Amino acid sequence: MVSLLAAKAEVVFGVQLVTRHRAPRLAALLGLGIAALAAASEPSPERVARVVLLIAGTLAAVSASRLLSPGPALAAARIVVAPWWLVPTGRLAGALCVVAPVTAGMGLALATASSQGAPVLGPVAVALAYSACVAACTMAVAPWWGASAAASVGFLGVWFGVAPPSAMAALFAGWLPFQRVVIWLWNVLPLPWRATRWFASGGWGDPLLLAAWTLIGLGVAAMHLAGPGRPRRAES
Amino acid sequence: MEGCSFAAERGEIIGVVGPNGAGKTTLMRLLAGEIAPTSGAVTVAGFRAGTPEARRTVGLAEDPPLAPPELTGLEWLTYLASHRARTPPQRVALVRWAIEFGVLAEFAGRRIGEYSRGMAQRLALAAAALLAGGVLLLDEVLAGVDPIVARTLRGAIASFAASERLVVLASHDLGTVERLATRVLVLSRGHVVSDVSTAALLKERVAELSLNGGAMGRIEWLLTRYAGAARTGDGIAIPLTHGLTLEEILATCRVERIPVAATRVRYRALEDLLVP
Repeated sequence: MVSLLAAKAEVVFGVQLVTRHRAPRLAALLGLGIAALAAASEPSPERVARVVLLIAGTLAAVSASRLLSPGPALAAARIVVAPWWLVPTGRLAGALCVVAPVTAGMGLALATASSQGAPVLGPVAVALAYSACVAACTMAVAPWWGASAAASVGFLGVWFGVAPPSAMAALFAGWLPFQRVVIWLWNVLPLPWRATRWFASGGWGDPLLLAAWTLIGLGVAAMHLAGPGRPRRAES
Repeated sequence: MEGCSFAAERGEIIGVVGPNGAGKTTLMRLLAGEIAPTSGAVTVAGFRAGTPEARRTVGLAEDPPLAPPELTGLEWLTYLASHRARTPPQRVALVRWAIEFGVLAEFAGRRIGEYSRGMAQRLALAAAALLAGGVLLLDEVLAGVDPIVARTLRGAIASFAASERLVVLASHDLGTVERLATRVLVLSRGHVVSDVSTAALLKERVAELSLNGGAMGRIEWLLTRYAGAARTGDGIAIPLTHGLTLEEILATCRVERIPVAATRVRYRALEDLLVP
């Protein structure tokens, strides 16, 4: 039986790991700057949605990279005896507890600044679902790559992944084999263009792919905690 | 490690000593289930090391300690206690007990990143004791702890073992091992080279002979004459076992015309096992 105390402890620990490190604080500051710039230009509803997504994704990638980073965070996950899913799920929930209010606050501020009456709930809900997916995937690779590399890859994915596959196809038109690989990756990976399309046109395909990546991320993260042999290199 | 085999009972404090690279930390990590043996089996409380049942039994304190520097000591212990306790009052009681065990009251509210080495070691000890159901593994955990607190911690470790639990203590601090351990394993290059009762070992006596410069050449003869004898800085140390006395050794030296400058009889120490 899962102890409620243990589940709560993992959520709180996730919040502590995220809020006590300078990288997520810097990411939140970056998000604030982007939101201020966007608000100053009286954004359209589409732009509000895109900016909210960018902020949520960035913050999620940077925050989640701390959750199972090599060193004490990962060691703590391996010391405790808990069901395989409890530690990754609890810590992910903790990171989202930090991402959600920041995303909602910025979404509300941008919607208020938009003269065209941009919605708040829709973009924020999509952004949170997307940030859960980014966070799960970043958390999953952090024990292998280290927190900094995982955060960087997640960050770059969120920023460059805004472009749809058609834009990538046009960009790499002269490099045929490379173009095929890039387009395949763009269609398979959980990139933000999918969340933008989901928000704009609805449907089940995009949320299902994002949900699948979230589960894969959680599964891989749980795999790091099973069995002997833990990575011991720590980062500051 | 190779050919390393031993069993330990509840209530024992096993000291593990040996030179650098002897396999002390590897042994501790094997017992904790952090690494798996390539061959053979490691069993803790009847369960294979590394399984959830074995991990619930074991608490490992390492050097350097692994605790998140962003958290306070109190937050760290509360997190760990949440995974052991079933109710909030139980968790509070566990955390209080751990703070008392590690003598942490003065600085438990401070961030771990600000701790000195000794403070971090005390926290690691308290965290391991909190997690340990029946087996406490301590790897160089008293290194860097001031002598006054170290005395209190030795008392806490001894009382932990006295409550029908097992402590395995790996250390280069032979004084601590002599004071605490009921049994000592000496490791060398991954092998157990000696497994002795501390009480029996410390009862044995050793005669130390200081030899004049000219007699130093006869040390080899003395080493072959007396089993277990070892070189010292200025002469030889001979264990007084099997009824051997200092007078008999001096008589032999007189007969062999080996001039002895000074003699001293002392009790054996762990150092004699480590430095043959």
